[in-house]
Amino acid sequence: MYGYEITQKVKEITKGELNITEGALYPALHKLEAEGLLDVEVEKVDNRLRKYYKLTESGQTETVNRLAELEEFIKNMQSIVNPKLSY
Amino acid sequence: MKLNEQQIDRLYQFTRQHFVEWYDLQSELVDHLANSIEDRWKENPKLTFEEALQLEFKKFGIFGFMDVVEERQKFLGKKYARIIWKYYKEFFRLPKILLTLGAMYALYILSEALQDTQILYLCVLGVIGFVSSFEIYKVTKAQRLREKATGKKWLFEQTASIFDIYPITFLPVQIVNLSGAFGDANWNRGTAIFGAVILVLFALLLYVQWKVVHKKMSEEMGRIYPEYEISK
Repeated sequence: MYGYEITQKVKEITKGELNITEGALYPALHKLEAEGLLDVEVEKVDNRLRKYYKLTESGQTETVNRLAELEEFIKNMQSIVNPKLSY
Repeated sequence: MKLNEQQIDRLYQFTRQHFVEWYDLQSELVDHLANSIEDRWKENPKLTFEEALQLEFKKFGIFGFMDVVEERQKFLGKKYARIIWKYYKEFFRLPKILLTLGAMYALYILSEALQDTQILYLCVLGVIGFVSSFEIYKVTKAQRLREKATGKKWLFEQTASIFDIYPITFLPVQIVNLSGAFGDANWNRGTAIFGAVILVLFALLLYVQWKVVHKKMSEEMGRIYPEYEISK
């Protein structure tokens, strides 16, 4: 997928609830690329160059890890905000 | 409605005006802006090209394209350091390590024969400085000419100037200083060995950066820069 497509896709899937800002998207993509989690390909489309990103193998495993991390984080936050006090 | 060539050119110009001089970053931003402008036209066909462009640019926030550039520079800096290290390491493996050690030893022997470290090492440093300045001048000039001819600047070609190894430059100078401080006219074996090692390491680093890596840059970066091949 290319950058603009990602913003549109996210908007569509989340029905507009999650809006990725452009200013954050490209730095994030370049960072993931630097970490080796994304691969790039370039194609010429409508007299301009289009850069496609796709997850590498390590990117795919990392997605699973990071989602798990996020879940863990939310769980922790919940227990902090809503502690089960035993006494 | 699709953007015409003129409008695409205007987008390139627009990114330049907003401090993105490099084609590798421009092309991605141009495609993004072009897509979003085309989508805007679907909703509101009356919008002029410039109006749509301004609206879309606002979405990048007050820093505009700056974050994009910064993140890319960081990425390239890391990548560049890794490439240099890869070729630098070769000088510490067989067979090249013989050359490395040989150069160190030769320098040391010469220093012993002359019973001098300060003047000798200062001269060697001077030669290194002179030769590398000349190389850097040649390389940057060729790059400027290329940029002029193609009208495209590539951020990865400029990584050399972003890449900051030059604090290390002071080390050999310090050695020469030190050898003077200890010196009290006597030749000191320790300083001579240490100086010879550092000088050779330093010369090798410059050699790798400007002679070896610079030529391999497009080949090495080609993998992460498929657009470089396409736009040639």
